[in-house]
Amino acid sequence: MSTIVIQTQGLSKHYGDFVALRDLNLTVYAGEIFGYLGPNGAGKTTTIRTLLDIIRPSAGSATIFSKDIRQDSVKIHAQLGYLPSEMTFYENMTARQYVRFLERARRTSCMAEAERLAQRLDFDLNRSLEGLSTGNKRKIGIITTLMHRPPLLILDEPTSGLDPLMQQVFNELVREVQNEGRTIFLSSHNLNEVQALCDRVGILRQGELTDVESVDKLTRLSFRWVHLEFAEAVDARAFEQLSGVSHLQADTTKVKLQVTGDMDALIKLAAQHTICDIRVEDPTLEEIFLKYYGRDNA
Amino acid sequence: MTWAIFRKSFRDSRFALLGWGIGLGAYAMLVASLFSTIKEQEAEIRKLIESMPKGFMNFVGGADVLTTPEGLIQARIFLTVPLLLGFYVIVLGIGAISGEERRQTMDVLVTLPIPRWQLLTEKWLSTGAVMACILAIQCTALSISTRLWQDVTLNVGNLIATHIGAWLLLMSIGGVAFLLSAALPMHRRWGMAIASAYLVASYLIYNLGNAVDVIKPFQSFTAFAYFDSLKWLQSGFQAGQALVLVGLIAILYSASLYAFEHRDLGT
Repeated sequence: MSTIVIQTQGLSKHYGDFVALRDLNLTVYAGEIFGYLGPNGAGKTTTIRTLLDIIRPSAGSATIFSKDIRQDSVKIHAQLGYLPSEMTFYENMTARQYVRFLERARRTSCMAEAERLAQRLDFDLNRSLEGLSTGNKRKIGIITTLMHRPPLLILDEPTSGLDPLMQQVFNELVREVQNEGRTIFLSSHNLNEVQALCDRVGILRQGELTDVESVDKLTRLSFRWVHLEFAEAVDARAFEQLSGVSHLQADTTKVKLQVTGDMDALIKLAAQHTICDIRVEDPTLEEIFLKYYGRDNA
Repeated sequence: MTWAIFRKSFRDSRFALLGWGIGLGAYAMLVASLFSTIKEQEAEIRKLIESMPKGFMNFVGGADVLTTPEGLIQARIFLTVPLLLGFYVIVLGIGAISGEERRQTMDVLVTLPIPRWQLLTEKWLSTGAVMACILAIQCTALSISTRLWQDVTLNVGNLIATHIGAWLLLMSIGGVAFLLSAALPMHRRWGMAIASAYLVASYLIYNLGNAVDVIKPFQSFTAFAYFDSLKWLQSGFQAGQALVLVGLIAILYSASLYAFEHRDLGT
């Protein structure tokens, strides 16, 4: 993952005094699925719309495929598929006519791929676009985002409105795209979706990128829950004194605690007693998310 | 150019185009068919018009207005059709950008590999094509009328030139709508209100200027002043007037392009 696909430098967007995005420095590499995580209003869609040249940055710059997002937007758009968070269509068309319209506009032939995707998503392209359910709108959105096989996909809340079965199909499609070496930038507030799909995740809070980390590392290194069960009663206060230990809960023989970083001291202390059971649980992204944001902001 | 946006926009207007075209064509033939009856009563009509106050006579265009085919067509068609079609071209112009933003379809359009200038230009051209088709149907109906009723001695070349002039006038009105649509993010209703007010004010200033001396100096500030339809019908293509309208369209097109290129969309 050495080739840079998306790079932003000090990218900012202000609306008067309101700062929607502040000094964003972000790098997305070729072939990765990058999760862009944050609660509603954090600036995820603002970032995407700025990258796509729908809105213009107040400061900073960005490149996609080493091309400037402002100067070379047309060349960039030819190489990407964009799935907006809100899908709206021209209601006086069928899905097939809509695909034809996009084919003409993109000057590419992609009906065969659209048919294949429609089959995977169990969607009839002859359906009118009028009065579609949210799930069906999302399906036609996914079809038209993927059908020209772009090297970069920018997906804004891609699975909202999809039923669990279709979410699974979507996840398969995304992994297939990644296996072909293509890149996916996926914005979501759905932690399970990000955890299931992404290689790395950027966490956005109130317009600021607070961290970028691999999902594996984030779930492994940030903190773990440790459950210890001893043969005899132990003094739990000794565990609380250890560096990196918090959220201690204990009764006479059982101790549950959260540990951040190195576990060596914890294991050595526990080993002074007879251990009946030890379990280590990785935190869910939800828990990591809460830790980053604090419960009130999540 | 891919012409995809042009085709889509034109296709969306096809039923309205047919409705307007057939309606105005039928109306034009009806007006032409009345000419024989009016001709038979020329003396009475002339007397009636000449007995009216001078201001009103100027407002209707003088005694010749209803007693020549050109006068009748000017008074009954070219005084009203640009106003009616003016409202329609405003709807198209405002809908071109603000409508797409309101429907939230703009995001998909601007992320296609099409530059913004091309998107706007295809929308302009589509609006121009819709207007040209409606006027072509009306022009054809009037040309047929000259064959059906021998008294309607209109020169077909002049008729075509007049419709070209009407098209230029309408595109300049549409240009105001395009500019407002490009410059005012998401303010579709405001754009519509301002463009309509501009149309009505221009129409009233130009037409009342013929009757009210105080208003007369302001006539030349309206686009209607550069489409003196009676002159076009009588003498054919008016290069000077056409040039002003073309210049106005070019300014409005450039300004709308600038506004569209430089603003955030769909916010």
